[in-house]
Amino acid sequence: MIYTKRSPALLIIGLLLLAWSWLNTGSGIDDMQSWLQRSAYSDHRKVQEKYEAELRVATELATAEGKSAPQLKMPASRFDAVKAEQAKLASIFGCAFVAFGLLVLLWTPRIGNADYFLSVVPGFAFIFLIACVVRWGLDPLFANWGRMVKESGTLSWDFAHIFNLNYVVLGIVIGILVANISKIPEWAASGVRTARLFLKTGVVLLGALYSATELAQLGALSVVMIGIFVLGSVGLVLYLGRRMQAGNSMTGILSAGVGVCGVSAAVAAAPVVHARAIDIAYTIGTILMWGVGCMFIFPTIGHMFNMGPVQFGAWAGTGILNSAQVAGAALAYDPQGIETLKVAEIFNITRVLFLPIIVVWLAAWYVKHEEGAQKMALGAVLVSKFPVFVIGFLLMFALSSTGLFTPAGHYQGKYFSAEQVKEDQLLRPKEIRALEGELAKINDQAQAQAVRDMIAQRKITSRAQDDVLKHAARIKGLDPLAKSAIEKASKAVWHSSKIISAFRDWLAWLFSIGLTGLGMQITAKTIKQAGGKPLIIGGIVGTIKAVGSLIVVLLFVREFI
Amino acid sequence: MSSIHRKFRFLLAISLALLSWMALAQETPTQPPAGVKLIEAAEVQALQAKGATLVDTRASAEYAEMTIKGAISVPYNPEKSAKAIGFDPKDDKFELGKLPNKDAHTVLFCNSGTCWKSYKGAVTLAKAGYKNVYWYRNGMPDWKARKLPTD
Repeated sequence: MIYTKRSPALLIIGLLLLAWSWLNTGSGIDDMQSWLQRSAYSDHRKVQEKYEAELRVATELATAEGKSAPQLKMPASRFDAVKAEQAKLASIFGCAFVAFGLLVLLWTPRIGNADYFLSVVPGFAFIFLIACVVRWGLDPLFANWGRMVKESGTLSWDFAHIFNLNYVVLGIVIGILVANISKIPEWAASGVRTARLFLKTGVVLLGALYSATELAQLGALSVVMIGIFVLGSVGLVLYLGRRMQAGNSMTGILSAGVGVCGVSAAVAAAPVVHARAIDIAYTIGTILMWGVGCMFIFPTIGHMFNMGPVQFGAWAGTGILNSAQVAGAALAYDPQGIETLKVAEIFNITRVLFLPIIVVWLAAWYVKHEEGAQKMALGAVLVSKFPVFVIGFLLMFALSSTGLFTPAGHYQGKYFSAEQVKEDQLLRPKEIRALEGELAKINDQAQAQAVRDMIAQRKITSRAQDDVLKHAARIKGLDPLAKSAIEKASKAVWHSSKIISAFRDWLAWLFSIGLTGLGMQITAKTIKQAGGKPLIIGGIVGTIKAVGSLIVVLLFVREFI
Repeated sequence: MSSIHRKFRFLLAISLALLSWMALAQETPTQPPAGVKLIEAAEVQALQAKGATLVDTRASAEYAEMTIKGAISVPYNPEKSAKAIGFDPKDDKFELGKLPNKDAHTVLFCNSGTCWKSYKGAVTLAKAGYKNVYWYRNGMPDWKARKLPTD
């Protein structure tokens, strides 16, 4: 059978990408890009204003001396870098797609590998094009909308953030829309089926974002409590899923989503249990609906029980399924203080760090239950069927834990280092004067000492000091200059790893390509086949987890960790 | 082919939606508002020598970073009004209490070009009856480029 379909589509996609690349090398679409890339553009404005002022002054001086105006070159801003990056990616893939597009049109394929590989390219290009639209267009667009609606006061929360309207969800949604509104074109069918490969590669990279040393730094209570609830709810979903015969793939992915950390865990577990696109969509839908509901209900219940910040933080971090809504609920409960948010985040991080364990568990569980009927020895099955990419994931996790990519104590690429604070980030004399003037207002001994230490060193030197100072910065009536000095000093000691940032960027591409492709496999028929079981299981386990953690928190958690 | 057509229409619709939501930051006018004098760096120095108050209207973090030597910090914050001449300051805040009396010479500045804080601050002062309000439109970038004293 010949897989390659003769169609000009690939050539057209290649030309579209080249057109985008060309547009980005000029300034023709700067209006649109400046709106989409808001923060990069504000950097651009600063660079531009500095350049214009320098040029004006230099010209004035030269004219006064009777010389001709000097030539200055405007330095590149972050905005220029973003545009250059888009232009580069679009031109590389554009050129490749044009070349293959011509091949598809001109070459008459024969049965064999060459034909199959060529047939994959148009579909990949199709998904890649959509991923570009999602990553460069829709993702920033929704982020802007969310912020605008929040700033205008229409909603008190950022809907784009709370509903996870980022490239993960948007990729799936666009995939579903394309597949159901206009059917997947024939020329793309072969390539769309390879989407899972990208997801697997993404999961391998994901391993680099976790480190075992980070887990070791967390409080014992959060590890024990999270351990029980994560493992418990994963186990419970697996049990219920088998009883209700929801299918091994669906059960597996749902357990990761409900048990660990929501959307990203579901995505990571998807290839492990051979989840179909519909399983992922159902799981994410369940998690998000449940999470958003919790975000509104949790604070109300918290106030009913008159919970303290540590109690509520512990409860929200354990009971709410998805990271975005954990932060949302903590802030809704206690908009002023950071204590609740901090505790909730500690619990949340702990839960996220359980992902490697769950991935291995699910891999073993899935292999066992898929092969179980044959009564083979479990060990032998595991060795022969254990997914190779999960080993890749664990390898990356191990490398990350040794500190190869970034200091081992990092969390998703961010790490503390006082040594790496740059000269121009040290406290300035003006800030030191402001801080000294405010020392009298700081009643807490530890906080006053932390401020004095910071003044002496002109920077923050330890994580404990950073934590203490975060509280000091929130003292009511503190001089704004002193406050901004503390915040600046705190920002200066946290660094992000270049390698991890690059990994995250690749990860985002792989996941958006993979999920767009998987989204295309969801149709009305598959939705009907999956039925409502995942919603029921997710609801039951979610409720048990929320109520159970509430009881545990009320019984055992006091105001201190 | 119809599916490709539909896809293009879909993309077109997205780009149109994008365009309709765009509003680029507008530059401040090159003319000062009523009751305010527009000045350059040399005049700022002359006024400062005569005892005028220099007011940095930017956020306190920016003031902390670097400001004109001797300037005080009165942030125009929050700035919720539109970046346009007919802005409505009802949700904005600019603490006049930190400023000297209405007859004193007051120079307002922020960053040049798209920063409206000093413009809006100057309008607020003029409306409140301050008589000697000056607007250093070119602001911080200009001051830095001239390598004048900073703090």
